[in-house]
Amino acid sequence: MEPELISKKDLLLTCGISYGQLYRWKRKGLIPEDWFVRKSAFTGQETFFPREKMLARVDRILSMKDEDASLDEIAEAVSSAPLPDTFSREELMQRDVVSSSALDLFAERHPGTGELRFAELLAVSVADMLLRSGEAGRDETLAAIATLEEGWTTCEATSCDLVLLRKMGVSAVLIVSSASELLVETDVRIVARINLPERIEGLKSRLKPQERGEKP
Amino acid sequence: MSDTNRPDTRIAGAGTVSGGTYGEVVIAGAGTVRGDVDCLAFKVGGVADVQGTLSAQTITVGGSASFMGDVRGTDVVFSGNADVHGALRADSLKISGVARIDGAVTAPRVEIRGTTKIGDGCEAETFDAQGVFSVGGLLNAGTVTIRLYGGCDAHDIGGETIDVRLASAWTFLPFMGDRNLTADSIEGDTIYLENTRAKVVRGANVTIGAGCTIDLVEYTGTLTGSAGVVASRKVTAGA
Repeated sequence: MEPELISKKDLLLTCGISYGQLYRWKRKGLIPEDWFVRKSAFTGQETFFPREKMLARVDRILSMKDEDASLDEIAEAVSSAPLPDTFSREELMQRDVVSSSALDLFAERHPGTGELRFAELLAVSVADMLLRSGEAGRDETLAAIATLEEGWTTCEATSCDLVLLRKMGVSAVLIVSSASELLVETDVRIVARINLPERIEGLKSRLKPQERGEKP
Repeated sequence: MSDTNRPDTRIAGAGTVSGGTYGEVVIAGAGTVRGDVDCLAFKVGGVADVQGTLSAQTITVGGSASFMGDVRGTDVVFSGNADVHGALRADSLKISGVARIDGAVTAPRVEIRGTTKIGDGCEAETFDAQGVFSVGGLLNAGTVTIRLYGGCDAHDIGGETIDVRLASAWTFLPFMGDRNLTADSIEGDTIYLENTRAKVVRGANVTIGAGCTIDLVEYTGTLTGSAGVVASRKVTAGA
């Protein structure tokens, strides 16, 4: 499952940005080092980027620049460091970050939980996605939360996917590295495959701008 | 700048300083620093061997110093001989002597007047070199100004304004040998090159001056001069 790539030249043309801007963003840490993929082309070495991620990131940087955010502010918003804050149920509901049913499910597993840490919020958000898709059942969603919680300490969520498989009505949840391809026997259906880095980014972009807006 | 929590220390003959927090550390003779040091000012007039990391506001090496770990400072001036085995991070880095940095260099202002070898990449807002340098990785700076006094090279160069010229003629240094810049790729918005050998140069407005050998130039705006350019191509949207 190698992601589709875009060459640096095409990226600049598509987005209407210059080499200077791209190098400046790189210096400011707006574009992760490992998104720069060097490949040999007929003109020698060329740089490529994961197409979808990169286009989304450039879009985001350009739209934040329209709001007059400084590059440092943008860097903070897109940085891959987890948010240190905890999040209350009311806050999450109000901002429509996750649905109440996903939060209820999490509360059922952990009665008496007040504020959610970012890692827990990620699990809730994945549960929310599974529930909303209509593909996964309640128990499967609970299993997904449990797997994420266990896996949190052992695997790097910044480069993993959560996968839900089902064979003859029996389901299984696994966490695999984002780059890996799954080969399954014919009866097994891949019900859902959720990219965790995308979820993290999505959560952050949902939480960040409003936080900034609330500051006096 | 003496204060109770940050004592000053000074080696005039031969001696050893243990790691820790200091005000001013002065090594005028031959000194060894054992461990990591955090100080306000670090000055080497003699010979220093720092066997840990160094973090200081001002770092001045007039003599000869070797740093085993990373070096971090606000103002770093290497006018003697400096050898950094880790990475170097500073607000301002000035090198007028001979310096070798094995790791990456990150400093908003980099000024090179002597001879410098950087093993990894170099990130700066302004990179101003009038001397001889080598960058093993990417030289990424807002403004790159290079005046060639000898052989310079970088694996790749990227930035907004890149200006490479032969040092002015009155500086006659026949013993320096070839005076040119070598890089795999050079990419920027406004590029002016003299005496440069590159596989590919990409930019908006590119000017190729005397003494260049460039396999391919790709530009989106204008290309001025073509001596030494093997192939050039104007890149437009949809092409």
